[in-house]
Amino acid sequence: MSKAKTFKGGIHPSYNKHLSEHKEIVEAPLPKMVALPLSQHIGAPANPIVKRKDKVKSGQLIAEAGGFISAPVHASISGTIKGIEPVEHPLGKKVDAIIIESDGKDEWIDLNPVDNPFDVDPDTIKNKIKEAGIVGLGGATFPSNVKLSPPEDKKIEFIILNGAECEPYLTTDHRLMVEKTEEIVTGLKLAAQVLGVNKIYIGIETNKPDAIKKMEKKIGNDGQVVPLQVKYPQGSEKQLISAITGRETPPTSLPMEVGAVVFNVGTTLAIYEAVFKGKPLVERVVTLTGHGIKNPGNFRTRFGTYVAELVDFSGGYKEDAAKLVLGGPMMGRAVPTDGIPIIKGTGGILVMTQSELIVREYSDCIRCGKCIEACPNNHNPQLLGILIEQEKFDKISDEQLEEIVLDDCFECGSCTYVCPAHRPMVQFFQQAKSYYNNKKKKR
Amino acid sequence: MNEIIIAVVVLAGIGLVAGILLSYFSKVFHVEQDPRIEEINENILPGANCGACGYAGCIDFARAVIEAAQSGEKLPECPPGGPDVAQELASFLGLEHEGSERKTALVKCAGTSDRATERAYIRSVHDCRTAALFGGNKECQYGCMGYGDCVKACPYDAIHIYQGNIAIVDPEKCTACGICVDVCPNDVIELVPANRQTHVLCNSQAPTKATRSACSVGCIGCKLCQRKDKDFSIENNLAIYNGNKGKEEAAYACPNDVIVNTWQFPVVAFVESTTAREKFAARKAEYKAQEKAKRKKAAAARKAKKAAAAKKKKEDKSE
Amino acid sequence: MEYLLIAINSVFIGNLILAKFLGICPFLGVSKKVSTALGMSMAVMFVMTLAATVTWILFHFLLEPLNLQYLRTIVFILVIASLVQLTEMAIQKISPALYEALGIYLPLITTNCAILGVAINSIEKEYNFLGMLVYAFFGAVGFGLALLLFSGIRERLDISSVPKSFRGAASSLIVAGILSLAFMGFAGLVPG
Repeated sequence: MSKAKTFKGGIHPSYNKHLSEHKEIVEAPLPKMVALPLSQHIGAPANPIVKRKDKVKSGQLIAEAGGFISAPVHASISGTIKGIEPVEHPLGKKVDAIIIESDGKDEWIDLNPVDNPFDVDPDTIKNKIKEAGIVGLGGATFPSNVKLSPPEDKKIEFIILNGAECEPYLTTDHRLMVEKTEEIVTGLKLAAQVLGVNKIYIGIETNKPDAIKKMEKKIGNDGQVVPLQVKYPQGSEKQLISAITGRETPPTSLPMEVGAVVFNVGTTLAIYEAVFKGKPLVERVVTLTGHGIKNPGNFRTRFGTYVAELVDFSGGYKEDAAKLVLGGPMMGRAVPTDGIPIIKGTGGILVMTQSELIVREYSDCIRCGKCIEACPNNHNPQLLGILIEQEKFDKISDEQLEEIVLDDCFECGSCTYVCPAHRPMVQFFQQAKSYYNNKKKKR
Repeated sequence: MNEIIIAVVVLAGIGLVAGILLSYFSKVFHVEQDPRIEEINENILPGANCGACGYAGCIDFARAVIEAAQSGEKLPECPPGGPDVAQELASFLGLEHEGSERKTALVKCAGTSDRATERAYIRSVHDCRTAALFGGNKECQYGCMGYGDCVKACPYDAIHIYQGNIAIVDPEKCTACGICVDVCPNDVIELVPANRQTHVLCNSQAPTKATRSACSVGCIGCKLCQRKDKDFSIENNLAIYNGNKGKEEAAYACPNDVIVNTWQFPVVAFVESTTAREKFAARKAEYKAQEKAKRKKAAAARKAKKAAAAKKKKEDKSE
Repeated sequence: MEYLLIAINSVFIGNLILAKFLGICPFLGVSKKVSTALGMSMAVMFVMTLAATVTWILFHFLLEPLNLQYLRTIVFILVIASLVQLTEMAIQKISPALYEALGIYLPLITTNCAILGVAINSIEKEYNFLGMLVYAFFGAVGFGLALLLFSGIRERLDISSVPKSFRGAASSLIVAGILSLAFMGFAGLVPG
């Protein structure tokens, strides 16, 4: 067997996937109350079309897309609308959310699957995906129907299924590939047809041998499963394309510039469910894990379920649980409360213990260059970090690094992970982005 | 003797040639520089080179002023110089000048640690911009976070932090240059007219329930102030005052004591001092008592009038 | 061949700043940014070559025949001052940005002992016309080299965390000293 492919740079954090990678997906019970934020996706927030005391059914449209790059929001349970209130959001600022109190019945709207999806016009499929409110469930939450409609002049040559799941602790895509292989492959083939491509790649890291075997068997000759070296951040779009096809996406451009479109496993399954079953996007699989949780596992939950409820269902926290992170330890966000709803982009809930939290005061840059080696995007985190720390933003513009900082750094955290001086590199870049956005806003 | 003369002649000759060449070239390489630029830079402008005008230092601003004057455009403003400098510039250039009012910066928040609920246990954060990345350290995400980015940015040392929690501007030192307004990630600081005596010390657009749980001096958008004084307007659950001197009753009507009248208490006292708040509470109670007494008197008068009317009716009937 | 030796000597072994310690003022003053350092080097190159030429001509065709060698210093300074004035006017016209950036250091080329040093040295060393040209031009090249090296280092130094007492001029001067030591390594390049 040839050596698994990979990309330049990257790191090898401890994965801790053993906590949940062999646990079958469990259906979480219906929550008593859900809070559905109007902004769970990239783009304009959705506009609510319901008000207090309205009765809604599961799957009913409750907020319309707010623009071209936007997505609608559907009720994830049936019940009564309690109101629209601000709730905590993983990105920090509170956002308005539609609160629904469950009636316990889970009554659904009438579902209209598409007949013969492989024979109809691609626009019908794209519309169905748009109506279903499907966005990238890998975390970026980009509206999928927009991804399936690249501009005329961009020639797409292949579609890649992102089964890398490089983020430590997270195992949702792994379990989905093992348990829902047929549905995912069907969804993938449909997406390929909509894009008009016939080259299908499936990238899976070698730490998921059962998934590789199952996907290989199911895809057969219609596509190619590419085993990938276990390295973070293999699951990032550009690194995935680089490893599988060898093509380098230019800085600040999208994958379609090199003829590729990448879809997450969860998103592909959602596409299948929307088209073949008529289901709008109301639930997803979440990995509830960490050493601070009694029974880590993978749960299928409805959107808007409060983390506290899910943790309760799973068996509760351990004694020394200290920190709650939504997402993985590399790119996830720490949140101040478990009274926060699970939304479209939440792939994992990580509970860390007191002993796992080590905060050190950072020192000056020792210029070792480890961050430069680790950066998967060929940046110079060393120089940028120093300039940002000293607030020399003019110098950054002088060296024409403004776009790199703003658009090309996707905050994977590799530089922060390797820094021997414990410098908070990602936080520096976030600060720089906020400085530039603030400047643009106020000028 | 001869030698001396020759030496002097040679030296003088070289000097003369150099002089002629230089004067010729000074005409060839002449660069037009309006002498007024130097005049403005040296004598009129404050010379702090603070950059608040948006130009690269006072000399650049002076150039821009001359350019604007020549092309007939509106002169750029020097915020720290204020209306005085604006007036001087205009008269120096021989132009008309309409008065512009002096402004000052105001931190629209009074959420000290005993009033604003803390959001989470946060460590290793030392500035507002970092804190804003994850939504801040207070439950109210519109408030002042108190790490002092504005203090560091202020070139006139006009802001201080109280109890590591909230920023307060000293209106005496503030020149309204606007740098703090740019720096604040939560937009809590606003430039208000310096002679305004009534302020709403809150920036929260959150709805009533959320504001109540977040801060005991937060504006819940109840509109009670608007009822007493029409200069208050309510937008996005937040009261905004646009007048000059508000009615005292509006401050007393506010259930959360968000409004401050600076002829009674300066902003800094209203935020920092418990005695000031106690005095305010006393005045509020006094006012409310007076109002209650008035209402009672009016009710008693109505009752008496009613009784008198009923008595008269009875008398009429019995006749 | 002889001219090649003069050139190498001017740039490396007898580097005006790092070996002869002339012209330290602009070396420390204009080396904060590489772009201004480059501009200054160009200005110095122009002035140095021109000044050396004019003074050489004046010396050999005016002062020597009239036995006025002792007037050399005054005459040279007169000529150099005028040339620098000329350069200043030219730069102000051609590149106002550079003029602003160099600021006060432009007229300071006048009192820059490097120019006077080169002028006098080319008389002392009894170079012929071409020798003087090579000496002056490559002397300026060496000047520019040292300036560029130093400004590059200084830009890096600027963003490093230097201990408080060493910040600014202190660390710069130490670096200049080390750079000078380094250039001493060229000493054995040309025998004699």
